[in-house]
Amino acid sequence: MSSLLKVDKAVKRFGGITAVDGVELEVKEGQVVGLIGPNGSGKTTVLNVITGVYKPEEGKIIFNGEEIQGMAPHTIVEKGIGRTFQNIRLINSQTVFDNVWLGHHVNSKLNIFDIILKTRREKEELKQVREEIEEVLDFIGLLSIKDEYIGNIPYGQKKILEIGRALMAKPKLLLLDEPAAGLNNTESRELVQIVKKINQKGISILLIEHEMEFVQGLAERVYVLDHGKKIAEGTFAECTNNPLVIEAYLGTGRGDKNAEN
Amino acid sequence: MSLGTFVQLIIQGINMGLIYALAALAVSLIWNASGLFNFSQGDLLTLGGYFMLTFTVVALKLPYWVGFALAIVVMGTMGFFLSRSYFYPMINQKLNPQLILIGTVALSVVIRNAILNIWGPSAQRFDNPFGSKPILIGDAIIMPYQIVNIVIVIILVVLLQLFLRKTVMGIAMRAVAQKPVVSSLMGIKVEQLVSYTFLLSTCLASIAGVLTGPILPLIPEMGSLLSIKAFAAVLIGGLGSFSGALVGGLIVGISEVLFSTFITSTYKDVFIFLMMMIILQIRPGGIFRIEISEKV
Amino acid sequence: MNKALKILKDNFIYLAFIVVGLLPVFGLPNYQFYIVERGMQNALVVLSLVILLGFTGQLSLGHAGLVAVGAYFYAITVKNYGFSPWISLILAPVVTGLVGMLLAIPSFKLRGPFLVVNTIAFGEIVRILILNAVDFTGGPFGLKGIKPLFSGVYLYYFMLVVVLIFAIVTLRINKSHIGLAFKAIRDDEVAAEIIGVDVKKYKLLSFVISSIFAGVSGVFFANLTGYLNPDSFTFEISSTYLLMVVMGGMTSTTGGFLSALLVTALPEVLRFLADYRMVIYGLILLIYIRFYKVLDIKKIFSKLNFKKSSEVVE
Repeated sequence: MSSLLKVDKAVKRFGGITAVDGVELEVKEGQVVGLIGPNGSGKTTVLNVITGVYKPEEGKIIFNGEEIQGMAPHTIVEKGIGRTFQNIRLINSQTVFDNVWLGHHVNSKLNIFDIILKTRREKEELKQVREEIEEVLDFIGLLSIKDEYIGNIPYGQKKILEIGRALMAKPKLLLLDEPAAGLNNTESRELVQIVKKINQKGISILLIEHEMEFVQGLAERVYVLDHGKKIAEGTFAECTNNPLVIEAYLGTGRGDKNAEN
Repeated sequence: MSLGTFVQLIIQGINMGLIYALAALAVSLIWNASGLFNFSQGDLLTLGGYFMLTFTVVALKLPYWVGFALAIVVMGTMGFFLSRSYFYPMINQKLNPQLILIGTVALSVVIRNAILNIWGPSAQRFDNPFGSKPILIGDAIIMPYQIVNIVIVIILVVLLQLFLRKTVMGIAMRAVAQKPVVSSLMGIKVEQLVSYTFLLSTCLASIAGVLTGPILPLIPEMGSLLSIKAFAAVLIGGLGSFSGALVGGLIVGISEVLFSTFITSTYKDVFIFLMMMIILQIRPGGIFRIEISEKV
Repeated sequence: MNKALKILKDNFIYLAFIVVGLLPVFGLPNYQFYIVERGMQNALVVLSLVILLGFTGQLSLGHAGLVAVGAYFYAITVKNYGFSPWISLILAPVVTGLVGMLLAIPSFKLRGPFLVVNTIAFGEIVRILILNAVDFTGGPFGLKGIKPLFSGVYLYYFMLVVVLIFAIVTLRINKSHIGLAFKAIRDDEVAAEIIGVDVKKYKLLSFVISSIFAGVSGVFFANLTGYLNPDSFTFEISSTYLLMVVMGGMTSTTGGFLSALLVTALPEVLRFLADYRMVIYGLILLIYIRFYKVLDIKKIFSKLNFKKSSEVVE
């Protein structure tokens, strides 16, 4: 398997605090990789560095053989990295359908003149996009609520909808930021199924989780972060038995989920 | 150019700048307490000036300081009720901030046209008791009101600082921008806080209005002319920052006077606006930037 | 029955245009005729703000400056350089579009009041330049005797058609992925960028489209009045445009069109109040905004299906 994403000694500082301190991490094609760590360990910052929200002060981000650090976030989406947010960020004034449509944005070939003149190209793309959106909605099980407004749907569905939106961009790599946080057991199990199905389509996944259990059985490789540093990597079992990991988790009082929000 | 003339220009610039600074300060205070940018601040200032006109010249013929005090009381009361009945309910409803902002634009249309109807379109003045005999310092010609205005603003700034640092309400006004919860922890209702901030800002508007009296004649459109430069001042200095409002006001006032004298008075406003645009491009938060980071 | 009603509601915008189109048939007095024409001219600016403010969330208080650029470009090229009015009609929006690009630059870095004050400054700069470029613009004395595209009722119908075309363009943008990108920027700029919307590009696009609309409106202004003067393009006029777009519900094309007509006519309707009409007009707007949530014009509009209720901007 060839390497899809490689984070090479990335460093990100905020003022005097080093949030990400020389992190190294690799996702291979078709892999599901977990990135875990206690609250405040810098997981989300790593994700923000990968997706271009922050530019790393040092180090490289290599995606598909290309250095992408410092690129604008939308360009990185175009390159094939999709993501979801820890705190849901859907467009609240729009419907489920429209939010998924927004994910298709980077793939649209239409320009403003196609829109104004209603060209044949526009009609064709729109027809195709409509089918794709319904396909994605069906895939994540939200087709029945496609015309609902975001304000009217429950939290769990919003989280899954974010995945649907990311899928519309046809990513090669999907970054999920604490997808299970706030979900009940049923929803969580459904989510595991969806993640597996996505992976079966050949999309690699980097799973950021606070809850170690969720990563178990999904991620074939796990990285553990603490205080911005990678403290362990390997299989789930290897990591959970690592004394450094146990100490990191016990030491910071896990279960305080809101601390990072 | 002699040093004296230069000093004279600087004093002139400081005088104009302090007017902008007071308006900027009022805008900043309201922004801190409520997240609302008050586009009617300049027209409130003008209204303060016209109240002074009425109290000391047109109707009551009160002495200067009595008229001044009455203008502050009337404007402050108006600000308080404006907040209670208009702005706070909208903030409380979590109405789209842009709409509330447009509400302040509508308020400025109302105030300006009300002034036009009540006091008429022609330029008017009220007297100040400080005399028109210039003080000569070297070859610098300085008007008595220029000294008085500067002294009044210095006293005002000291009092405001004491209020903002030593009283519970003042501390809440400063703190609320960062953490809205704080004010309720201190036992102050947000409604009270917002209303008192409006009260304070309309008081500042009336003071600025009265101080403008000897500098510029009162005309109904004065508000929009002054407010655009006061906005430039507040953004250059840093929205939400006390020192920023003062420094921004002085920068705008002094550079305006210097540009008019040495280059051209025709394009002095263009110069101020371009200066603001450039500063904001380099430092989007202004000089005394208050960091607001967003968590993704 | 229900279906017929729905078709009627969906096509309300066309109905509105037909009604306005029929007005001359009933023989309006000259002055009222002129007010409707001014209403249509303002409608273009309102549509321009529907796209910029309503869809994209970028508040501009400098649109009078853009209208001025369109109007003066038309007047100067036609009057001083002998351009054909038709050539100038086509070039004016191109020029305002380019100016709009300049206006867009601050929006890349600035938001909220920071951006608004920049747009005010832009409008003022344009006005001051016009006031002082006496050789071209006539300065405070203005420009007289500008040749119109058409005269009388022909101009009326020409404007009606142009406004209709721009309204359709606005509706199409609203329902496209570009409109969706605009709204994503309005609702959550940071998220929009991260999920793949090139925020700078779309802000630029929104400003340019908006400026083109405003430029055409400027050409119509020059056509209607035949006389230009910097006083027609003040900050106060920009505020009026803003208030019109708010009255129309901010994101509604039909609402914007009707609001432009009504608000333009309002001071005339309130004429019996003589000098106080601008105060009353302002008060109506104050009350409207104060009770925006209570009245909820948007919901009423959405129930009438003028547009999707998704447009409710909270």
